[in-house]
Formats: sequence, structure tokens, C-alpha cells
Amino acid sequence: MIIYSLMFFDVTYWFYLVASLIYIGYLLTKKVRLADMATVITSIGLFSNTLFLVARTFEAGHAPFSNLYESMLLFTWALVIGYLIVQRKYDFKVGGAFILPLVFLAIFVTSLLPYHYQGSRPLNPALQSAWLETHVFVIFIGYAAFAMSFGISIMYLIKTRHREKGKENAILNILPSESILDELSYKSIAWGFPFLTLGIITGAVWANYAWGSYWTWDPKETWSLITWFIYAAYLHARVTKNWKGKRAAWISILGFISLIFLYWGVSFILPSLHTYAV
Amino acid sequence: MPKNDIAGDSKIINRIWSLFASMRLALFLLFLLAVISIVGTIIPQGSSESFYITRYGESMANWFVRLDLFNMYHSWWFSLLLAILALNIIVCSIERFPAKWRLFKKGERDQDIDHIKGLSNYSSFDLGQVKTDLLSRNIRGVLRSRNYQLNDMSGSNSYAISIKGSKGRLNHFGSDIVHLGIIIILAGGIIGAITGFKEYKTIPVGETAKVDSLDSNLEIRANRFWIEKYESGEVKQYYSDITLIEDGEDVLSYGILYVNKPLIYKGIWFYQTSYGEAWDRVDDITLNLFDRKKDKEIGNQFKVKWQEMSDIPGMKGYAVKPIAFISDFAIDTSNKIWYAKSTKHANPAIQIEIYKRGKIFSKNWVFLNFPNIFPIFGDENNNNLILSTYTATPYTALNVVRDKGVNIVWVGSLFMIIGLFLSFFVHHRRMWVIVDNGENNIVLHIGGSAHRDRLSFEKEFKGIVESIHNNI
Repeated sequence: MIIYSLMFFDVTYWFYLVASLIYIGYLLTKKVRLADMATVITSIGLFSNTLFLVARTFEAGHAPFSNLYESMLLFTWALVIGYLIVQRKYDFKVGGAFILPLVFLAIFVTSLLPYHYQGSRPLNPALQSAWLETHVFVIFIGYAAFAMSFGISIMYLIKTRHREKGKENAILNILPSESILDELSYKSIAWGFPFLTLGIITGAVWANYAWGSYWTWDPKETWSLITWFIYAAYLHARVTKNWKGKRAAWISILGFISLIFLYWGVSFILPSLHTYAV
Repeated sequence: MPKNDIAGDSKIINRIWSLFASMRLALFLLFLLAVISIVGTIIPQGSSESFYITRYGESMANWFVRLDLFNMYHSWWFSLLLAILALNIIVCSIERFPAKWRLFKKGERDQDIDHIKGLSNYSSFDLGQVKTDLLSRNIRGVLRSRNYQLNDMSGSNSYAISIKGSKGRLNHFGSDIVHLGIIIILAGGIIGAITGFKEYKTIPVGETAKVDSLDSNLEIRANRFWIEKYESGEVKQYYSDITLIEDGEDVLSYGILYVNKPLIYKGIWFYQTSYGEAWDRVDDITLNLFDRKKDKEIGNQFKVKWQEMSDIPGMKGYAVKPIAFISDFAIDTSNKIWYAKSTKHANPAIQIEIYKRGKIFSKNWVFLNFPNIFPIFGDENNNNLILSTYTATPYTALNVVRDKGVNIVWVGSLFMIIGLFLSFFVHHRRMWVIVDNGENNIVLHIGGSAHRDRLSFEKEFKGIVESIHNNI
């Protein structure tokens, strides 16, 4: 019997890997044909990613949002969609060389999870609620937007360093200007922040329904607030003199590190009501 | 801004005000709160003192107590930080709002051709013979289709056509609404903490528990408890059937609640939180007679209900009554005092009374894991009683909560969402179009400016110019 979701997982894995490599090839050679090829491969990977989520829903009998394995594929799905939209809207093909490796890294790490993380399980009582779909979906749009900002901030810092050092680098010339990168990074966070806020709020509403308290300073809740504080600082920094540009990029990176801890670290390292990794 | 006649005082007040009106303080507070909040996730909150002493050593644990690190999010200094942040938000808003409001009320300024030419988004093209009113309608139509609110000043100045448009002006108030939302949420949290209560009640089935925090006498009786399982055996859902009794009267019968579906009565919410097996009572026990000489069980097992007397089959005149149960029996060897080590069923023990011909004969403990440890009928008697099994009493664990601030928190949350939407998805943009009857030809000047999100605006501007051009 074929477990379709596992099959689609593998297909997605390879397509995202190949797409990453071809985008990097575009970065190195500047051949636009490579960028277009990478876009096609990414789109096929996205299609396979979608099929994974659909297959998983049928196999598990519930939305594929209930554990780490499933949610990582939701994350890659949202990030790839977001990237393709941005790439098209702003002719931002070189971004693929930074974002797609991030996408592949995500699915790669997921593939390393022990087998018992990969199986789908029926939902435990606390997860049996329409809030599961709402809260998790909204949060992951936020995560994807922040991941995009992270990738673009890295590009920004590389471009800035490249300019400061004064060396002519044929490869990095292809990167958009610093102001465009700064603007795109900001726009990503301008999407991520409202969705993270909505995610925290829907989480609070759900917690109030399930556990009797909308905020308990549970490690997962607290880390979501920490991440929120950091991105709020980013937004306020941008309207402060001297804090645009480089400092903003670093705050964006810091926020993403906090997000990784929020997403993965809390499940494994800290005890919490939220330990749904398995 | 508060002003004072006394120069020295006013200087200090002004400086404090400036501090609280500053963005730097906001940045500092946000980072500080982020870092401090991390501490509370590394040091587990709300555990017993012995836990911290075991984990961190006595001297560290003492420091933690002094700094209130075991319950730091409710500590005075954390609350103070939040209060300072709230003050920062309020002062910043008071400082910046009036100017914004004035600008909003004033409306967009008129521009002349020179100014429009200076805008970063500018285009102009020569028009041949065009009818002014058709052209004006074209321009207005294009701008309206993109949601611009228009002000047609043609005729009031020297230009043939002079139109200004703007949209998304509410964008500027997005941050104020977000900030207001945050203050409302904090207020709701404070009100909830002060006026509400939260109790955790474990109620064995068949028993009643009282809600302590209420002035009135409200009790919960657990009638039934049951678990639904998946085919695989995992728990799918668990349910309680409760009756609420107020001042002695049943006010709510057959109240069903389960996880994610609380029961609400008079503003009090009852949540199905957990369940377990009672640690201090059982439904019934199953005993058997044991022959100590022959070292084997004799007779048949028999059941005895909790705290009910039952004759012992095979021993005429004797009866047994289970009067106490400890799920995890332990004994302090120094003073021979027994106690309950945990709520787990790790070492179940039943205390039974033996009656001989109606009069109490002995009182003893029988242990599931250690049969025959005490001779129940005395040393001379060969017979003994052993505990074969028992039926645990399920208990349902409920959270009983009243929070008068929670709806305020939701209102604040709504403000935040609206404010964020205005801040990030509504863009303030302005357009000016002037058609000038020049010396030789008619020229159309069009310019636009966007406060933020310039990349998108550039695209929109190009689109507008194209549309107008194509319609000519």
C-alpha cells in the first residue's frame, strides 16, 4: 500500500533541492534561463507540496497541522507561495538563491525526524476544535513571511558588506539595491507581524475555550510573545533615525532565531502544554 | 505638555515627559521585556520550593525567592515593566496624535506644476486636441477606479484641469488604534486578575465539590464520567455529566462538558481539564481468604463495596468493611507514621475493619503489592485476607473560572487587528493632475506621492498613467 503523503514528501524534497541548486546557478552565472527553469521546478515542487497536504488530510482524517512533521510542510508551502508571488511582483528572481535553500533546509531537517514523528496520529481531545485549523494556519503564514524577511535580510547584509568593502564582485552585482532589499524585508515583516499577532490572539481564544485561561505564560506562549516583541522592535526601529538598514536587518535575523526556538526549541527542550511535536 | 512656573520642577518634568515620549525608550523596553521573558521559560514557573532547592541548590533557590523568579510574570517588578511600557505608549500617542489629527482634518494641499514636477513619481505628456470635459472625466474615472477620493478644483485656478486625489489616509491612525488596543488588553488582564478566580477541582464520581471563591454556596456534583477512544485505543475525548447545586437546590442538571466545550453558568465557566483515578477512595474491593499454613488461596473471591459492611464467606460471624484507601502508601520508618506518597496508584492499600459477631475486632491495612504482610485475624488464626483487586473511582478534573476582564481583552484584540490592518494594508497615496493650456499645446502633468510602500506605488502610478494615456 502506498502511503501517498510520504511519497509526495519525497518528491517535494527532491524538487526543492534541485530548484535551490538551479537558483544558485543563476546567481553565479546570471543566465536568466536558469532562473526561469528554477521557477518551473519550484512550482512543480509546490504542487507536490500541496498534494502532500491533501493526501495527509485524507490519511489522518484531520487537517495536516497537528504535529511538527506536518506543520513543516505547511511552512514550506506558505513560504514557496509567498516567494513566487514576490518574485513575480518585483522581478526578484535572485531571491530564489537564498529563499529556496531555506525551504530545502526546512524539508531536509524534517526528513531527519525519527520515523515515529512522521506517522499521523488521531487528534487528542485538546486539538479537537476548529481553532486548530485557524490558529495554526494563521501562525504559519506569519512564520513564512518572517522566513522571507530573514532571507532578504541576509541578502541585504551581504550586499552592504560587498559595497563597504568596495570590491567589485560580479556575482553580487546581480543583487538588487540595498534600499529595495530593505523595503522588501520590511514588506515581509509587514505581512508577518499582523499574522503573528492574529495567531497569538486566536491561540489565546482557543486556550480560553480549552483550558480556561487565555494566557498562562506557558513557554510556547511566552516565546511567541518574545518573538512578537522583537518584531515590534523592528517596526519601531525603522521609524527611528539610524536604525533602518543594517540594524533593522540584524533585528530581523534575531527575530527569526527567536522564531526557530519558538517553533522547534520549545517542543523539544522546554516542557509545555504545547508539546505536540510527536 | 505640562508646564510649570517653577523653572527647576518644570525642567525635570519636561525631561521625564520627553523620555516617555521617546521611541528609544520603546525600543529599550521591547528588548528588555523580550530578554527577561526568556528567563521565565528556562526557570520553570510555579513549582514548589523543594523543587527549586533540589534543582538549583539552596543558595540559588534563595536568590530566586528574593527576586520572585518562581512566579516572575506576576511579580511586582515585571508588572512595573509592563506599566512603564503602557505609560510609554500613552505618552507617545499623546505627543504625536494632535499633529496627525490636524493634518488629517486639513486635507491635501493644492500643488502647482513646479511642485508636481519635483515628485519622485511624475509624468507628463502632450495632448493634441482634446475636449477638456472628456479628458477630465477620463482622469477622474481612472483615479476613482483605484479608490481615490477626488477634489476637482478646475476653474478655481488658472489651469484648465486641476484635480487632486487621495486615499488611505486612515493608515496614519493604524498605530494609534493598535496602541489603544494594547492598553485595553492590559486593562482587561488587570481586571480579570483582580476580580476573577480560577480553581482546579478534582471530583470523584459520585461526590460533590464546593466552589470556594464564591460567596454563595455553589457545588458541583460529578454524576458520570466517561472516555471515548479511537479504534487504536488512544483517547479521543472525555466527558463529564455534572449537576450544579446552588444553596442546596439543583440549578443545573445533566450538564455535559468535555474538552474544548466548557459549561457556562452565571458567568462561571467550567472546563473539562483532566481526569484520573481517585487516590483516596475506590468503588469496591475484591478480597479472598488465604490459608497461611497451606500458603494458598481458599474459597472464592468476593466483592465489598466502599464503606459498606459485608459478611466474609467461609468465616462465620465475621464481617469486613473497607474504610480508607491510599493509592501510594508509604511509611516513615522513624516514627511509624504512614502517609500518601503520591496520587499515583503505585502502592495501593485499603484499610479494613473486621467485625466479629457485630463488634469491631480489628483494623488493618491490606496491600495490593504486599499480600499477607499483616495477619488480619490475629496470629493464632490460619486464615488471612488478601486484596486481589479493586475498582478505582474515576475522578473528573475541572477548571472553574470566572474572568470579568476577558471580554475587554477581546475588544482590545479587535482594536489591534484593525489597527494593524490599517497600518500595513492601507496605504496613504496622493495624486495630482494638472492640465495646462500652454502656449503651443496642452500638457498634462501628473504626479503622485506615497508615504510608504513606494515599490507598490510606483507600479500603481505607472498603471494610472497608462490608463489615462490609453483613454485619450
